[in-house]
Amino acid sequence: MDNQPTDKLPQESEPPIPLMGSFKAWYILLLVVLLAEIVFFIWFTQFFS
Amino acid sequence: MSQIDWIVLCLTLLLILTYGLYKSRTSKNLEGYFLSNRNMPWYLVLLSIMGTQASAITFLSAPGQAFTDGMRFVQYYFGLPLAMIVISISFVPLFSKMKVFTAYEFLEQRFDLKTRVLTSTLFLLSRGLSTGISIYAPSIILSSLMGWDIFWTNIVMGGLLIVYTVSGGARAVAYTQQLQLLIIFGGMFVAGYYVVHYLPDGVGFTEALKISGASGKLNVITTGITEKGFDWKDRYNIISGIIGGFFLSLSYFGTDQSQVGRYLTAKNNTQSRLGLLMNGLVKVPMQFFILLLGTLLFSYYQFNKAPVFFNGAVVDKAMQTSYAPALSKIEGEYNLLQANQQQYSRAFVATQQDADKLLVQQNRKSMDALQKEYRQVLKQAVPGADTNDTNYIFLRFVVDHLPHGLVGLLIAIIFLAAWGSIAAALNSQAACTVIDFHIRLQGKKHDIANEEDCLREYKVSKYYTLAWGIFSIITAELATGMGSLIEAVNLLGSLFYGVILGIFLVALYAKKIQGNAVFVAAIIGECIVVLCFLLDKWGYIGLGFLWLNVVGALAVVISAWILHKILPPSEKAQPVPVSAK
Repeated sequence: MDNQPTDKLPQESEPPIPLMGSFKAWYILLLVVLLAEIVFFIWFTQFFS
Repeated sequence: MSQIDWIVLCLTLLLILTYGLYKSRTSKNLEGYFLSNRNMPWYLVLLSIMGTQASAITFLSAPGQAFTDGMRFVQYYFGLPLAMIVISISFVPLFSKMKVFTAYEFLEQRFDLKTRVLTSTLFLLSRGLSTGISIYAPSIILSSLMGWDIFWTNIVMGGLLIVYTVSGGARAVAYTQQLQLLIIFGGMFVAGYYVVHYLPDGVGFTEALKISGASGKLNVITTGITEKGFDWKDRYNIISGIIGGFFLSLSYFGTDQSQVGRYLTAKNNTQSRLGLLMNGLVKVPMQFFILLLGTLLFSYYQFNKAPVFFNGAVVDKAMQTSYAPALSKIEGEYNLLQANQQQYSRAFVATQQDADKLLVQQNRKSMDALQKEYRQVLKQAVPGADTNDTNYIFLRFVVDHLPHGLVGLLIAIIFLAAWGSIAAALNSQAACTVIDFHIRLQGKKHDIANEEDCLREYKVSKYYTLAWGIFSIITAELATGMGSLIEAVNLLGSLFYGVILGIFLVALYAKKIQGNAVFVAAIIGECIVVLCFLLDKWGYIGLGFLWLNVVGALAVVISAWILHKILPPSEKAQPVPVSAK
């Protein structure tokens, strides 16, 4: 199996994505954090006003 | 300023200067000078992005903004994380794949030379002038508060950083920004500690927040919706923050070379993206805490004597005129109200009753009205004087109340914050001048194997960095007598940003549209933005400046699409990429 020829060209491997494993997870994290911040700020505004 | 403060200030500036020179060692070619050999890890990219965005005015103005207008300014940054995601998906992989030096180099590969030259020129024009203002703005505040000569303050503010920026290029800029940010955050944290520490007994952090909340300073979220509907003129609300802030951030981080040049220094695509995404995570909380410092300062002044107007130099000038009795009268009334405010604030903290809260609010309103009246008299007494003291509030507290040594450190922070953003701007301006004009318009291919060529271009790059540095200082010196022109220069960026973004959006997402269509669309878009700006200025429409970015970008995209249907396709010239081997 190992010696079988392959028609795929050798590709430059992308380095692993640190901490979250994938960029998709990073994007979701950013959106969730932004949403959480807005919710916290709404509470903060109402609590102290 | 005491001797200890002078020592701390000089030592801190010297530390950064020496560190910048120490980190100046880089390959003597364009890649080494402008992109630090593309070998930066994500955390250095992150700090460099943050250091470039945060100027001296960020740290001076934000606490003052919270003090006067409350915390709603934080909403301005809500679109930033969304923009980081889009840039990470669309812009970075393309810049990285094409191995460009400047963002505008990509536009020639996608469209044609004239589109590249147009956008690069717009960038150099707006950034070139605004860098001068970035020197002048903190200098005038420091010279006013400390009594320093504005000429020499400008020289130190804009001159010393030139030494390491010319010497080490992007690498020196990134490493010094890292150290600068560490000192800045440390200093701001200590200042925040002292504000809370100086509150009277029985008033802690929570009580301080309740006091500023009672006066409407903790209004983090506002909708901008009034009885008449949505207020388009309102600068900071959740809608303009998310939509307008998104377009502004997309333009600033995706198309402004002073930022693009920072993440192009990353080791690879992944490190660039990670630096940007981390910036999206930390920016909103960072601004929140800087603004919180302003509201704590506000609470501090509810229990302690505050000046009616924080820029003492203007007051001193006004007191030399025939308006002095009128000003003294207002000051007397203000002091009485302030004494009442201290009493009401203490009562409110002790009882937490609505009746006491109402007294705090009503008295505050009377104080605000007196402050407004005081400013009007100042305006009459010293015509042409800036009667907005927002930028002076934080520094005035530092100078008047912080212990010796710390005053020097906080003033050093103003210099460091300015240096971080100015150094990145100079580096990016030199990059555009060398890559988009000097080398490109010579028309010859850049050969990285030819050591003689590389060394010559490296030296030319240093000369251009020096030239832009000198240009910025001259702009700052000329700004001293220009008054309202400074506001015009600040607005210049807002007028161009949306259009530049529109060009990039077409380049990235409308693959069929070609050079001629987008070039004409950019001119149409710019005319529409200027028209909207003028209509707003003349009072025909009400449009906050954040919306100009949206208008500019959409105008270019829509015009380009229509023109694409009408105009014949342009003949695409063969681009000459700098990275050609």
